[in-house]
Amino acid sequence: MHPARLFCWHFMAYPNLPADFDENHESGWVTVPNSLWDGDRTRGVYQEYLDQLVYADELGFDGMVLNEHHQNIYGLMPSPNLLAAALTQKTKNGKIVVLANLPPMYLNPLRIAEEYAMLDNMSDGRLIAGFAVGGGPESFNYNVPSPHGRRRLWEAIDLIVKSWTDDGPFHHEGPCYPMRYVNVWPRPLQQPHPEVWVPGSRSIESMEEVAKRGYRYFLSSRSHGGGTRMAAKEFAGVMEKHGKTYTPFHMGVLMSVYVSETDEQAKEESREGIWYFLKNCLKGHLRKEGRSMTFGPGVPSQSLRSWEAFLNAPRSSGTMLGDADTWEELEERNSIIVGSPETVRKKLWDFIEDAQVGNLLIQFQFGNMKDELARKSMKLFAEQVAPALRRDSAELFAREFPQLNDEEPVEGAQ
Amino acid sequence: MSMRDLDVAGRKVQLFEAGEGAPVLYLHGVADMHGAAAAPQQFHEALAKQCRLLAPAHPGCVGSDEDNSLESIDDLTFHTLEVMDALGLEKVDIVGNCIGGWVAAQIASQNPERVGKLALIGAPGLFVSGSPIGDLFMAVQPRNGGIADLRSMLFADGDGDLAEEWFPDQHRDKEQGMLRYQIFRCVARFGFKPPYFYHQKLRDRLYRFKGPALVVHGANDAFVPPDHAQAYADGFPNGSVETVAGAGHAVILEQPDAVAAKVAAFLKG
Repeated sequence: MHPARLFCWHFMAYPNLPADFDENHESGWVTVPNSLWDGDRTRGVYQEYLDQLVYADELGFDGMVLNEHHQNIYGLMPSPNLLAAALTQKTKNGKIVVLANLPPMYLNPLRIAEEYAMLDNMSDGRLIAGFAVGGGPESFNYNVPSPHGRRRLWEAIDLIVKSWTDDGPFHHEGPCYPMRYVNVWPRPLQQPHPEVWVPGSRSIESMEEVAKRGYRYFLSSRSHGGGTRMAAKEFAGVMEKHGKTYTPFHMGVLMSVYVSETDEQAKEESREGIWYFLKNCLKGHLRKEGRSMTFGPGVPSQSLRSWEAFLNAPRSSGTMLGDADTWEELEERNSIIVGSPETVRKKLWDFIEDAQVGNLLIQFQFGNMKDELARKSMKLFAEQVAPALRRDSAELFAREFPQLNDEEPVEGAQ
Repeated sequence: MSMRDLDVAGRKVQLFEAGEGAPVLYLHGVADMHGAAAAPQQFHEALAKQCRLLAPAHPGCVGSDEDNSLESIDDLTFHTLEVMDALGLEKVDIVGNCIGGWVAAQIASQNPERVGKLALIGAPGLFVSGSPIGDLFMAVQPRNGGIADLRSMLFADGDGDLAEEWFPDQHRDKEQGMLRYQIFRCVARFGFKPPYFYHQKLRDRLYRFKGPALVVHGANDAFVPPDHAQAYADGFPNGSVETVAGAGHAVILEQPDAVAAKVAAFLKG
């Protein structure tokens, strides 16, 4: 049986912004002044966040997820690999998912190959290796011209994976990263190499690249309407075109959850952290107000074909997750699910049943949420939500994807 | 007046052609024909009354093929030399607006024998200490749902009708949305990463172009500060500046007849 895999994702927000941040600053990204960093109040923040991830491992989550962002208050992880290294020593069971490193920003992607190989050994083979192109804010931070991002990304991924699977030293011809000596020490523990995940935002180009290599597709979206089911169908279609068969484990999504004893209590406890997250952390990223840096002609990473498709699509209201002002608006996005164990179970189950996606990467800590609240929510989830979701999803997947019974879907790369 | 496709080393380049007489190569900018709009403007029509205007669209703009290997101003310069080859232009007068001016200056310093007279309008391309070029890419990213920052970076009157017509917050139709994306995607390929909109060596190489050089600049240009115009003129042995009062970076749109008259007089003289 193959139940849905439930991961705990920590974004590690900066939790000590002044109360008037939103009034006085146009973005939580790139231009947010680091004079706002309050060293005294922020002391110990990494320990607190890391311990929450260690707790996730103890609670039996399938893994812990980290990601890379720069110069922002949304996520204090310019180097997720440093935190992953700490997790290798403090956790025992779960996968360590680095989603992702951003190869287009590196002069030499072999640095990523080396660090990931180290992490795989240090964790005794628990690494999931994520690679992403980086978004608009990262382009501004690291001066990466968006139109070149994808080309650099795929050359880097292919070079890194080859550096893990082929004997070195060998010569790599480029064009983005010509190398005379590719000869990575250490080699990764997992053979032929750690599972590779690549985020995308529904562009066919990315799905094609992921599918033809047999990697796993992570849908980079914080809203889950019908689009997520559509994306799963599109990806399944693309896989089929490449002679492969989709299973729910070929795709992952990000969900956010807060669980408490009752629906009312859950809202009461999470309100401050969630709105800190929506109004501050998403400002500059997924909010109309302020400076939007994620998407647009200034960071033109989409191909002309994708942009044309975007322009042809019916105009949406233009509102984003961070624009939500009420619980009702939040609920429409189906992104941050707040409630009693039963409410959360039902909503996540409806989602799994509809979207048929088997990797749920779940955010429990929001913005400045207090440690005890994040832990309480994780515990209630692990004890009162996860068991039923695992049981029901295993039955559903066995029924809908009979090929899962013949193969091990989660181990190994291919 | 015609639009046609040119084959440049296997790549399709859209070419606008108008007027009669001596050929003049026109290299476009962002707020320009082939840039944020497809059609020739009053400025181009006025100029084409005095010469045979040949205006290719940069790679990825309007109907020109994208070139994924284009990643620096040197690549765009080489491409433009190939366009000149395809047009049979051994030596030609060049007028370049905005980024087109930068390309024109690169060609003039690198291959001075291929350029007769050189007119730069609102051209970036030089490093001027203490006078950084504005962040065009940040300005086009919406702030509170709009792009007022871009309008005031490009136009002296950022709140005026002209700025609004060229860069409304929401593109008026699909064509405008596509063109805006295309020109920014093209420019991001060579303009996004540092050195930001300049070539570190260009200023010291300008002396190689001994021909007449006219540098036109809007006095209120908030993208390329006006002292860059003086730096260009100082770098050319035979250069002079014409500052246009009351105009911004989009000087060819803001004062089309005045700028066309200055450029035409320069090319004739």
